[in-house]
Amino acid sequence: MTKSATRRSVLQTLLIGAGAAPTLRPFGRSFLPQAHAAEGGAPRRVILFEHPNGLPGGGQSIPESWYYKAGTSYATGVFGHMLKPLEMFRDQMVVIQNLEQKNAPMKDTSSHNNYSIQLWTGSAEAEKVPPHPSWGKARNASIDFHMSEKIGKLATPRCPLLGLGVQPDQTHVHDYTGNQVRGSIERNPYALYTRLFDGLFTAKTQPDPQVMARLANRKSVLDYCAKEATAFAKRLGAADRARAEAQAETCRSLEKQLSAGFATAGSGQACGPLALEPNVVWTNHITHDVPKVMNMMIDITVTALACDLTRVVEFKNWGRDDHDATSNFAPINLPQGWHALSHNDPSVEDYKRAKIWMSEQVAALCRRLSSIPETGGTMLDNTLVVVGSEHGQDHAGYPMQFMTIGGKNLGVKTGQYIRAGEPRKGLGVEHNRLLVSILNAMGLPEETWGVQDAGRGGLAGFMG
Amino acid sequence: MGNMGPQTRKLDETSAQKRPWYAGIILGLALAAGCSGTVSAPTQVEKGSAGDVGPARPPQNESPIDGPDGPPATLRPAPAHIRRLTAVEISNSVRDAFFAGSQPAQVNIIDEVARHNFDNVFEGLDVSVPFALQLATGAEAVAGQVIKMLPTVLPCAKDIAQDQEHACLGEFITRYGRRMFRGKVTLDQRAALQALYDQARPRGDFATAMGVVVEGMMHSPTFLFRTEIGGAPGEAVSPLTSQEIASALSYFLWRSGPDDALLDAADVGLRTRNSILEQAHRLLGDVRARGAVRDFFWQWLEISDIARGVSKNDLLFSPALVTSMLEESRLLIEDVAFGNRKGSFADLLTAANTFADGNVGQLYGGVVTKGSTFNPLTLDKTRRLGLLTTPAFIAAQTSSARFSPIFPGVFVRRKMFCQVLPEPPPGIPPPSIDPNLTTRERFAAHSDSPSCQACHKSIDDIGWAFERFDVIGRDRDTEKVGDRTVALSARGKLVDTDVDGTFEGAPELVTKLANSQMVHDCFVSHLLEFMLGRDTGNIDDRLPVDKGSIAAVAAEVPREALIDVLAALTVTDSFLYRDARNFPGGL
Repeated sequence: MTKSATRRSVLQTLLIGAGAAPTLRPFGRSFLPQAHAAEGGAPRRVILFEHPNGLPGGGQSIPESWYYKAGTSYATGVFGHMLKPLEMFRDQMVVIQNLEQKNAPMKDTSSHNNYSIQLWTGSAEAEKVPPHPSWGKARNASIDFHMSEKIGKLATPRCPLLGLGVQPDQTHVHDYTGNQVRGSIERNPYALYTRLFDGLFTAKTQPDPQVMARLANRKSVLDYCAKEATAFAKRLGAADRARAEAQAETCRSLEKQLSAGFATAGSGQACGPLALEPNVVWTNHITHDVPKVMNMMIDITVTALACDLTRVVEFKNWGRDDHDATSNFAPINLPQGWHALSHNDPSVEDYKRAKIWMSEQVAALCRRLSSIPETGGTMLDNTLVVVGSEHGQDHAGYPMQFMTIGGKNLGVKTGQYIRAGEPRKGLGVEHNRLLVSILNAMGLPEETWGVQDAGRGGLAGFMG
Repeated sequence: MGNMGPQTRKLDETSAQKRPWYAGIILGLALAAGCSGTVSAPTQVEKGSAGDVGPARPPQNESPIDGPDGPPATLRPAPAHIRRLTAVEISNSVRDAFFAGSQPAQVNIIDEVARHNFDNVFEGLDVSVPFALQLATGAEAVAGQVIKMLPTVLPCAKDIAQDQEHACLGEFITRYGRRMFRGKVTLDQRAALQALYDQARPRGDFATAMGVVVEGMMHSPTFLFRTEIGGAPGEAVSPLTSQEIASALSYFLWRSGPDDALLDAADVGLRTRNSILEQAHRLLGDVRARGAVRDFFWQWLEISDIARGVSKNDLLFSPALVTSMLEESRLLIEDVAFGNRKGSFADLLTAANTFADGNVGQLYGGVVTKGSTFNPLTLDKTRRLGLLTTPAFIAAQTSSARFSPIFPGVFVRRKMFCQVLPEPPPGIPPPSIDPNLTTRERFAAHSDSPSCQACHKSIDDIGWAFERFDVIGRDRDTEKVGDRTVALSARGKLVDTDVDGTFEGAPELVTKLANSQMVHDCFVSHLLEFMLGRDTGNIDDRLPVDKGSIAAVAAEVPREALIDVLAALTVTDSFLYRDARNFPGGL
């Protein structure tokens, strides 16, 4: 990444919204309701990172050896093949086993359709009433879309929901904008970059006098606010004095940010133009560039978050087969698609290698997030990365393995293992509880998710 | 404080008979001491006793609240605090200050989702960075509106000469600053606002600089925080100042700032209970009180939850239906509380009529209502009565997919009877969803299992009252499971209350609730939370501070108009006094 954009230009574009990026407004709708900010005031963000097909068959030893084997404590629990690449984030993770998608597929549909739809909607595929598309109909919106409606449209109107992915399956859909409408996942990194950042990093050579006057007035108001609150605080009792002093500090810090020219402390420095490698092949039928596409998508995701262009990311990778999407890239180098791999074609060891590679990409994403300082720690502390698959084991709706990384400042109780029921059919905790917890971590008050959700509340123990 | 020691004076029965019912409460403990009862609940208002509140006090309605006939020496008021305005209060205050209530100010602040019963509980309401950012947005929008209307709201601004600007600014601060700061603007505050104007003026025209002053007012802690410290900081019993009482009245009864008349009254002095009551009744006669009362019920009964993106497994459930559900409940509340009958809380629980448009009318079996106009609707008394049987309440108390007796059962226990329920033990799965079993058959497990029985028997047996409604509050008589169609009875039972016994259907349950003194006490307890902006369950045992007086209010709830109950609470010691020992000096 290069950082050729001047701080002033980024400031003007992000805070003032004049000129090149008219949809981003100053003190405009890009600011958050209190519930949608993490502890310390940084934005709350979520990334739903999906990998397809769950774990292979082979009994209970697979979830233990591939994923997690409980020890006497979380610290002594054994990270399996898929978790090992994330060992450095152990204290920032929540490892969850045995969740279950309770709503079984209809007789005339596949588990792929049903469980893909159910992954983020929490409800089974809708009844097949013509016209019923091959990708199925959902009964209600997915949580990513809901978060984009409740948070994204207010906070980041330019991109309420960032849907992107590497070779995303065009057949099996996870995200639904409403009862029967599918969402949109961008797989072309170049088109995505243009759509997201077009004009954002174009520096204006001469500051707009009106813009500068508005900035100066804002600074005056914040200065007034800080002084008044300081004087007010002196006349209060200890507890209330702290509250008034907090107001003074808030106004001072915002004034300071205006002066420094950044929207948010720390992460603003990661908001700069990307030098995308040209001529990378992102289409499904040629796959040797997959690692490059993945890197580009991670770069775009992190930069979009740092620029506060979005708060909600759905990062969807592969799906079933799509027939074109193969694994013919290093280090996998196989002509099979991911679905074939998940059926141990040619061998279970090949599928294991693919899953490990996927976890390494999650680790790369988390390393990027954790390298960016922000209020309250790093960007990872203010971002909840949720990693999961639409299937449990052997293409069933159980036992589902999820992990989350980060989100400490969102109230997530990190550094723990949650055994959510038993790894047998009907004995897992419904995964709607995790969906509710994700919404809660983002500051949304929902207690249920999905029209078929018969339970209530978030996943026990997930939030601190 | 002056002499506030305990005094005894015989109640003048003749004069008491001439006064409204709450005059007795004003008089102190004479009534409270005679209001004995056996009902008790862990968190509700407790019946008063001499030990709680000291000996009977003399008539005080005409006596200064901070004079020798003030509170008893034994009074231990709630700790003094400052309270940040909620998003709703900010929006309403700005609307009423600048736009005479006629033009909605687009503030668009969203508070953090309240984890308390009410959004105005002061704990957690601070000026954080995200809040301040939203405030800045809102302040800009309000300033823009004020600028557009400047010649109207400030006649001196029209064609103003430069040498007249400061005088015109002074006029603006005097008039609108007083409303925004809920009292006379001090010299220091005036100087600070003028300095802000002087900074902004060179960067733009007069109107733009005035807009910056508006933004400054909205950022001022004097606007954002209202104080409840009283006139005796450092003292254990500090009566609220007249300005604080004016604010407390208006934010309780209007959810907005005081109007000019109330500020005028405060300037003269709100130092007797009679003068405070007079203002309370004036405020309750204003249309703004309807919004406040509606907000109280919507939050207490969790009705507002259905506006927060709740999903239901029913194709009829749409944003339009939710809007109609909320409108129905609003109309019902306003009709009972503010309509000709000036109904009581019990009337609200047992109202035989509601209102319906074409949307919500679909949920009332057999009723044909079309169009978007709401019309009165007489309820089928065997099926529905009052606010707790409106689709809005029922939809808020059910899951998305299917009826469960747990949610309404827990609600009634916790929020109608103010009973403390233990959290369910960990690791117990919900009843399995067997498609061949009815809801009652599935939940029988709760009653049969020893680990569940202790709580669920008393919870589920209440919740069954709502069995004959589906998840969006639509009438239903049967439940279809597999090949069976089973008739629903809605039969249930109340235990551990003062109205124990069996009932059939929601109407019989709500009638029992309307006759329960425990429920009336609990209702008043929630009103106190809303009025004081404090989570009474978590503060300490000093709330309510005048349990006898509060209990006397609660005792009158079944008989008296709901708005009179609200007015009566504004002259209780809980409302009027604070413990300000933690404050170093006056504001």
